[in-house]
Amino acid sequence: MCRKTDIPKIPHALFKWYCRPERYEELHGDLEEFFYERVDEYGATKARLYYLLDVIRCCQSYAWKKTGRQTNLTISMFRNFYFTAIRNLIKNKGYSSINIAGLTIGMTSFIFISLFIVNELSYDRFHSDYKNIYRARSEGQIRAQRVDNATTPSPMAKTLLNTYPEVVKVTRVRKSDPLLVEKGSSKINEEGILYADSTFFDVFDFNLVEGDPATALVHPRSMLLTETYAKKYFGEEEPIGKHLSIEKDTILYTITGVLEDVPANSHIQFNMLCSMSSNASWDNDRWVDGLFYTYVILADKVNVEALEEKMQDLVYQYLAPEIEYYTELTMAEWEGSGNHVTYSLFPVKDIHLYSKSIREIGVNGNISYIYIYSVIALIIVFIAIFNFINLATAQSTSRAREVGVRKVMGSTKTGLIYQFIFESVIVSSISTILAAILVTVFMPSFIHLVGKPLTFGLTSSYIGLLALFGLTIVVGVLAGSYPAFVLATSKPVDALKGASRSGSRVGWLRNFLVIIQFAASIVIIIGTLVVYYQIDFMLTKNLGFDKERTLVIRRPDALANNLEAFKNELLLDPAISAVVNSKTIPGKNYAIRSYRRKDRSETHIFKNNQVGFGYEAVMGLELISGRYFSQEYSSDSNAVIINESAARSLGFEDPIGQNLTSSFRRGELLEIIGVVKDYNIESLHRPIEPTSLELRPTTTKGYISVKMTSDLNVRETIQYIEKAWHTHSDKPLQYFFFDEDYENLYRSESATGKVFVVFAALSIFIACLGLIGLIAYTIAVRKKEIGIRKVLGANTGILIRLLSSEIVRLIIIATLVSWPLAYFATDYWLQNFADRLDIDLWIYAVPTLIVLLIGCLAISFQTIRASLSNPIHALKEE
Amino acid sequence: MNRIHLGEFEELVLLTVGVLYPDAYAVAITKEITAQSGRSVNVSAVHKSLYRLENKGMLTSELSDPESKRGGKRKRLFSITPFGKKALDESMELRMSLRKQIPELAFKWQIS
Repeated sequence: MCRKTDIPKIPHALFKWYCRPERYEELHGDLEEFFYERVDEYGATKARLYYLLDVIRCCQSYAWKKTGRQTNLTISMFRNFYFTAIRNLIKNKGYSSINIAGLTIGMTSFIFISLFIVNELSYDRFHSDYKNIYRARSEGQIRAQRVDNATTPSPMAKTLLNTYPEVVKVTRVRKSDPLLVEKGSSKINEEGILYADSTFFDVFDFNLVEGDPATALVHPRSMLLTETYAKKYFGEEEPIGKHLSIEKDTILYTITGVLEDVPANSHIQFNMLCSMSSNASWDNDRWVDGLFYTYVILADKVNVEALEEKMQDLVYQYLAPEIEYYTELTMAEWEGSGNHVTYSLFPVKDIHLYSKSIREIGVNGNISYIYIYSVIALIIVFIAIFNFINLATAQSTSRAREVGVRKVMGSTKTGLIYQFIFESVIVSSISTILAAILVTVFMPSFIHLVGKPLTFGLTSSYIGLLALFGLTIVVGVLAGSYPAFVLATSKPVDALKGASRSGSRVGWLRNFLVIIQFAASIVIIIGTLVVYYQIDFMLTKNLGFDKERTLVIRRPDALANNLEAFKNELLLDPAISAVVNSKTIPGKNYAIRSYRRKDRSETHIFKNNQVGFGYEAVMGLELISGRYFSQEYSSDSNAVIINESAARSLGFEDPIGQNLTSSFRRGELLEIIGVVKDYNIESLHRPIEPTSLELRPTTTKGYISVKMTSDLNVRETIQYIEKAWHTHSDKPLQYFFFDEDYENLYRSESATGKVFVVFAALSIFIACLGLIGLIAYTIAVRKKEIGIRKVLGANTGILIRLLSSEIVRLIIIATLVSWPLAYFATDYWLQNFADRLDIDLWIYAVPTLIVLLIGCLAISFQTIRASLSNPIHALKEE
Repeated sequence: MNRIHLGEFEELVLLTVGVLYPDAYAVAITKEITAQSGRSVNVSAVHKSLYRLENKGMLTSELSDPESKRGGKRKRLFSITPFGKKALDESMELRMSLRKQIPELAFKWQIS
C-alpha cells in the first residue's frame, strides 16, 4: 500500500527517468527534504502537488541524462543529414518526384483502404456491453435445403428470459415495410422504420438526446425519431409530445424521444423507432416462421455453447407441436426424413462481417472482402516500397562518391546507415503529408466508390494521426534500410574511384523486386477482370425471367378494392403490354409451402409465389409443358405451376395433370397444370430452388408489375401510371424498376469491382513509375557502353533489343509466378457464388499483355532517346 | 570582456553559499535567499545556478553524510573557491566604484 505521506510514485518515476544517475541522489534528496517539510506544513495532498511541480521544474539541462555522445554533435549531424537529403532531392528532381509520387499514391491507397477496413471492423462495438450481446437465429435443414434465418418467432425473447438464468436482458426488433407517414399536408413514404420492445435501450446504447429511454417505447404508438428526422418533420419545434399519422391510422403516434443519428457502423439502421406494443397481434405464441430479431444480453462468462445446447429443448417443447400440425407428420418422422431445426446465438459484434443468414436486418459486409481489401492495400504499399528500394539502389552509384568521402572523414557504418534511413524517412514524411492531403481531398469520391459512409476519418481520433506517424516511420525504415545497407557497406576505395560496383552487385535483388512488382500488378489486373466479368455475368445471365422494361409498384393494398379497375386502366395505355399483381417477385422474400404427392407421404417444400393472370407474360417465363393459368378454367384456383427443379424433386414422369396436397390448403387437391423452365428467384450466390406458382388474382399483398412495350417514353408512361394510381388511391405511388432493384443484390460485388478497378490502375501506375525510373538509370549507367556500341555500328533496333530484353525476361518470369497466385485468389472469391463464370485463358493472357505493353512503352521512350543520341556526348568525358 | 560575468541571481547564490558556510546546500540556500530577500525562489533555479557556478569554477562541492530527513540521501555541500571569491570581490568593487562615481547632484531632487 502506498501511504499518502510517501513520495508520489508516478512523478518519482518520471524524475528517475530523466535524471542523470550521478546527480539523482543529491537532487532527489533536496526534493524529498522539501516534500517531507511540506507534508508537515501543508498536509500530504498539497505536498504531493508541490512535489509534482518541482519534478517538472527540475527537468532542465543540468539534471538530464547525458546522451551517448554530446547532444549538440548528434543534432548537428542530423542537421547535416537533413541538408544532404534535401539537396539530393532537389538535385535529382526527376528521380525524387518519381519516388515521392509513387510513395504518395501507395500511401494514399493504403490509408483509404485501412480506413475502410477499420470501419468495417468497428461495427457494433459502440454498445457498452457488446461482448455479451447475442442475436438468436434459427438454423436447420428443411427438405435438403440449408436454412439460416436471422429472425426468430415472437415468443423467443420472453421464453429465453424466463427459462434461462444466463439470459439477463432481451429485446425484440421488427423491421417494417415502408410506411406512409403524414404530418399535416406532407405525405412521405418512409423506409427505415423499426418496431422495438421497450427494453431496446437496456440492450443497445443508442443515445437519446431527449426523452427517457426507460419509458419511451412502453406505450403503444410511441415513436422516437433520429435528430435528422426530428428536424425533417418538426424543424426547430420541440418534437416531444407531437403527433404523426402512420398509414392513415386514426390513432396517431406520439413522439416520445429524439435519438442521436444512428452511427454508420451499426448493423441496425433506422430513422424512426416505434413501440412494439403498437401492434398487439405481434405478441403471439406462434413458433413457426417469426419475423422478429431477438437480441439478448448474457451474463458475464456464460458458456454460450452450453446454453445453445440447452436451447434445443425449445425446439421440441414449442416448435415440434406446430411442425406436426402443419406437416401432418410426427416430429420423429419429420426429423427422420432429414429435417431439423436448431436455435442458436450469434454474437452481435460479428453480424456485419460473418452473418450469412437470410432475412438480415440490413445489407451486411463480408469478411472475405476484408481479407481481399487488406491484401490489396499491402500489395500497393509494397509495390511503392519496392519502387523506392529499386530506385535508391540504382541511384546508389551517384551517391557512392559521397559515401566514400564520408568514410574517409571517419564516418562509421552505423552513422551512414542512419543517414540513408533518415533520408528515406524524410521522403516518406513528405509522401505521408501529401497522402494525408490527398485523402482529405478525395474522401467524398472514396465514400462514393465504396457506397457507404465511414464513421472514422483520418482525424477523428488521435490514434489516426499516431498511426499515420507510425506508417511514415515504418515505410521510411522499410524502404531505406536495404539501400542504406548497400551504400554503407561499400568499400571506400571502390567508392572513391567512382565506379562503384554496387549497382551490378545488387542487380539480382533489383530484378527480384521488379518481378514481384509485375507479378502483383498482373494478379491485381486478373482479379479485376474476374470480378468485373463475374458481375457482368450475373447481371446479364439468362436468369430465366425478364427483368427489363418492368416497373414494379409497391403496396398495391393502397388500392384496396380498386385493384382490378387500376389494372384495367393501365392496360388502356398502348405503351403498357401487361400488368400483373403477385405476392412477391424474384429477388424479394419468398414464402415456403409444403406439398405432398397424393400417392406418397414424403413432404416437399417449395418456394411459393401467388400470382395473378398473365404473370408469365410480364416475367417472361418459358413454358416447358402444360399451360399457364387462364381465366377460361374456373378450376385454376386449385391449380399449381411448378418449375423444373420442383418437377424433378416430385419425381413424376409426366407431372401435368397430377394432383398434390398441401397442408396450407387443408385437404384440397392441387392439380399441376404446367411446368416452367428453371429461373432464379434469388441472387446467383444461391442455387436455383424448386418453386411453385399458385393463382390468387385478387391478392392485394406484394407488388404490381407493369411491363412496358419499349424503353422510349418511359417518363410519359410513368406519368400515366401515376395519374391512374391517384384516381384509385389517395396514397402516394411507390415504384421501382425491376432490373435496378435486382442489381442491388450485387451491391457489395459491384462496389468491390469498382474498388478493384481503381486500385489496379493505381498499382500499375506505381509499378510503371518505378520502371521508368529504373530504366532511366540503367541507361545512364550504360551510357558509355551504348556510345561504344554505336560507334562500332550498332543500330537503334539492336540497342532497343539489348536494353529491353532483360525487362521482357523479367515480365515473363513475373507472369509465370502470377498465374497460379491469381488462380488461387480468384478461385477463393468465386466460392461466394453458386453460379460461376468459366475462366478463359484470355483473362490470364490479357493482363500479361497489358503489363508487357506498358512496360515496353516505358522502355522504348527511354531507349530510343538513348540510342538516338550522339555517341560523342557519351564518350567525350573519357 | 576580461571581466568575469556574474548574473544577478548567480551572485546572490554565490553570496549565500558563503554566508551558510560550511553547510551550504541547495535546500538551505533556497530557504536563506527566500528569508533574506523576501522573494519566492524555486529550488530548481538554485540547482541551476549552483551547477553553473561550479562549471565556471567559482564553487567547489563535496557530498555529506546521509541524512534521514532526506530519505537517507546525501547532500552536496558547496563552498566558494578562490576564483569565486575573486569574482565576488570584482563584482562588489565594480558596484562600489560605480556607486562612488555618482555625483551628489544626482540625488538632489527638487520638487518643482
